[in-house]
Amino acid sequence: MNPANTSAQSRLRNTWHRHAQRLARRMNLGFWLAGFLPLLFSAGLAQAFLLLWFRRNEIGSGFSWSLFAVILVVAAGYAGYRQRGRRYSPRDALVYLESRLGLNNALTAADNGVAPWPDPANLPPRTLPAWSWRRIAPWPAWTLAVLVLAASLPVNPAPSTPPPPPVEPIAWGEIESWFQTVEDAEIVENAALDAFREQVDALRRQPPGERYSHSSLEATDALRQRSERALRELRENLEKTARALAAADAFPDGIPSGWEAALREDLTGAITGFEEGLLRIDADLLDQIRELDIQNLSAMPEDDLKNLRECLDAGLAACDAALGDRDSEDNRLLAAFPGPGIGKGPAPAPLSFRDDRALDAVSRRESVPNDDLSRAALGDRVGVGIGDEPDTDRPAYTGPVEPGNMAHPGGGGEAVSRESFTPDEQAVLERYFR
Amino acid sequence: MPDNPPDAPTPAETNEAGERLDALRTALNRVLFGQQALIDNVVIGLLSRGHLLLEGLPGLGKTELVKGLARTLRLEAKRIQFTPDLLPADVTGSPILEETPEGRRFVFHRGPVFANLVLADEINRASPKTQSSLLEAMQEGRVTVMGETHSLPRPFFVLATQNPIELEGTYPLPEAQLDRFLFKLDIYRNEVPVLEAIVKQREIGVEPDIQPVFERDTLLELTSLARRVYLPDIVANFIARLVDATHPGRSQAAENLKYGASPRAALALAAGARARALLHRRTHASFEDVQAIAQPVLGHRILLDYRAKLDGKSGASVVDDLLVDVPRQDKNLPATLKTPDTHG
Repeated sequence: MNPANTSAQSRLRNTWHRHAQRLARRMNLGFWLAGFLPLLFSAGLAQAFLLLWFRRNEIGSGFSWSLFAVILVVAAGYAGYRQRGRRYSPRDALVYLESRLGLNNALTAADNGVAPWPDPANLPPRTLPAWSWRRIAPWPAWTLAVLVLAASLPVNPAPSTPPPPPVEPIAWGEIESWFQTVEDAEIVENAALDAFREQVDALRRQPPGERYSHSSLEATDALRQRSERALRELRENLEKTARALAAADAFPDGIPSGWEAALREDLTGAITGFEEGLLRIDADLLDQIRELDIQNLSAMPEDDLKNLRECLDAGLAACDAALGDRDSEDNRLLAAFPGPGIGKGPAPAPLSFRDDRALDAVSRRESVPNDDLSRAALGDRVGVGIGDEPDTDRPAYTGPVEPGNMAHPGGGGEAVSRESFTPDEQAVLERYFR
Repeated sequence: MPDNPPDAPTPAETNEAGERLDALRTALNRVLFGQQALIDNVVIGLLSRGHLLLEGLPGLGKTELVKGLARTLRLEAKRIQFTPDLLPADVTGSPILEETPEGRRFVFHRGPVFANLVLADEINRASPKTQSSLLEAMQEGRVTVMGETHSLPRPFFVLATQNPIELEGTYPLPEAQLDRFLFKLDIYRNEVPVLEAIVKQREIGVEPDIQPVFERDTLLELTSLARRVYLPDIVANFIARLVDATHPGRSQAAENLKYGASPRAALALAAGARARALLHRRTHASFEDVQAIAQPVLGHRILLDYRAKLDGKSGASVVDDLLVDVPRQDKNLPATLKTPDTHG
């Protein structure tokens, strides 16, 4: 081979090698992208969620972006590592070129010194594989879209105040309000009230999660009933005392002997109740009640009596306020309408259907009111109606109307067949007896 | 740049060989009209020093082809008509007791296998025993009779034919014996223009006037040159992957195959690719050479199972599928790149 040919061959060799190296670089970049792009999208998705979380918790997003960059670097390395078996060497690229260009492996042969290098000028210009943007572009586009969305989406910051404590059972507050009312009246010793309050506090000290446990609710209910009973006992004793005092006022010349014993018995019972009850009243007040002589009330100082009356009234009012208005309302109604019956006060409504024409003049319908449905049980009657149709026995046989006439002809044997047999059985019988 | 392979032919040598082979193809074209592909494959077979199995209907010019080859290459050609009663000795020859001045002795009388070109006509009509005597000669290049070994002349080519439609009373060649044929070539009927040319230029009973193209020694030189043609590693890798893919489970095309091709098929592909490269005046074989000869090399070496036969597949269609399945290069294009438009 002459020097000119050698120089030309060397030039061609360099040209083809440059082509091959460029192709190998593009191929390897293509393989790396094929491995990296899905990882990029996954990392972008994770970063978007992280970004949203940071924004919601009002934490600076600088850390998440740094983490994202580190993840991308690791993903890039991993993609390169995974695609290492597919890497194109310049020699592989030469084979690809000669195969695509239909060169009959001339480049490989030339590279091995067996054949001359072909002239690339005579070959088609577009030998490098083109980028498939349709497969590349969606990955970064979606990643960018997700990140932009995560960065710009309006996010409500998470509430910074601690969550409110769990709601405590209503009964605790109710019990405390009862005793507060009684305490304000200043007729009961504080030690007795504190004993109840201590029990409420004991219930309140248990873990919040335990407040609605079965045992807690049971203890709460027992405490509530006990407190209510104590208040009712207190009210009853105060009322007995007030009644005795009122009777003494009503008979300034002396209580009739028939009533005196009963009033003394009531007063004694009240004092015993004050002494032994769950709510011990104030010691001075109790002494005044003990010293009360209903037969000789004028002997007592006027101021003391007045003070005693005010205390008793305040105590009763406090008990009524604590226990609610139900009792006092019922009492007022009973006092206004002693009954019984319509327009005369509360009375039991007729609870059976009957053709009571006497009621027509008043109303065709009336009901038994039951406002407190929480106390209703299954089977309780909550309303009674009276109408035109309860006369359910009208077609019943009434017996002979007049001598010689037949009230009902009867069905005879046919009735047995008609009323006892099924249609199939009737058909069988008809066929048999035809 | 790596060192030159020491034996690789020079472009000058391949050009000279190409000219001679072109002359041979031209001469054979005057014998066999319109069968250029067949003639090329026969020449490739000769250069590869392989034996050929021709399958085609009677009267398509198989004998003419052999006779034409013999005359153009000045080779001794013989024809054996295989029949069920043909004996191995009828092929190989046998010792005959002769009266000589020194007394009686056995003299080996050579059979028709002792020739450069042997046309084994309708080989599948002979018994397996007779077939195997010829196949042994093909494989070993020699014949042993009564303990005496006789070498066959060089070069030695067998062109066997079999008739695809006469199946009654035949002994089809087993796969192991089919494997010894380098190529199996199908001879198809001629088209109307070719038939017209035959009618105009040929006459029954009159041999075409063919001049020798080159001598027997030149043929041997050309076969040696073909063996020196450079086979790049990447092409050898392609051959290996192609042969491997013929085995069941190794490729989609080989899904319903019973057996794949043997290593001998890989050697045949390599030899054939080299020979074809020389025929095209190249110093190196290529992917295209392998793909061009894959059909005659692999078609008869793969065994279809009943499912493939029910699907209407043949050896040829499976090889076509294989060539689609097996890429030239064992590296794919990344998904992010697309194939360039070389026409643009």
